[in-house]
Amino acid sequence: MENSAELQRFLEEEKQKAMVSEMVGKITNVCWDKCITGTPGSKFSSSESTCLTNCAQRYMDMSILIMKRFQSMQ
Amino acid sequence: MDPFSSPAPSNGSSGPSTEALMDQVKAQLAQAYAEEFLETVRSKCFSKCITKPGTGLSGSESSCISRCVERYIEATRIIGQALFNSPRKSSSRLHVTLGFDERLLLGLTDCSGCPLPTAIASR
Repeated sequence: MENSAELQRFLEEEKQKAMVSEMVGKITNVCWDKCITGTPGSKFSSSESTCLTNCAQRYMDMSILIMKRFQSMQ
Repeated sequence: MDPFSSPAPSNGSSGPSTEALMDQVKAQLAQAYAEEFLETVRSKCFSKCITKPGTGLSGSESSCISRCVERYIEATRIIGQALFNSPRKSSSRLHVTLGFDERLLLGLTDCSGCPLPTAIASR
């Protein structure tokens, strides 16, 4: 029976990891479109990498704001 | 072996060992992630680099695609760092949004367990 608990824990952890990977993927997808406007170069300009960082963090801020707004409507 | 069949039981029990099952799940998740990642890269780089499809890939189209793949992998790394390695403020935003166990979050900071593009880039 301890197999089942171990499996539960494992599946929960893998689920969390998958959620994180999906979130990173989604945000990279969106922020690439916002920030990398020209043809890809051999490295990012500092404005491009700053944009990516800002974009990711603002996306998270927005996500929290949306949840709060949604919850306040329940 | 197809993804849905079980490995032969190794100890006379009636089902697959837990560890074999866990390995199978991890392998399938990693593969699914890799396929989705590659599809995203294909889509992004096609739209950036192939503006007028010709009868073959030109040299500039090929080098654009190479650079695009590298940049997209780098962008994924930057986003990961922006969300997990930056000041506590950002990490705690993440914690609130996803309800993460902090220990799991910290364990993911170096992403040793997760199938990130570092695995793809090293092929």
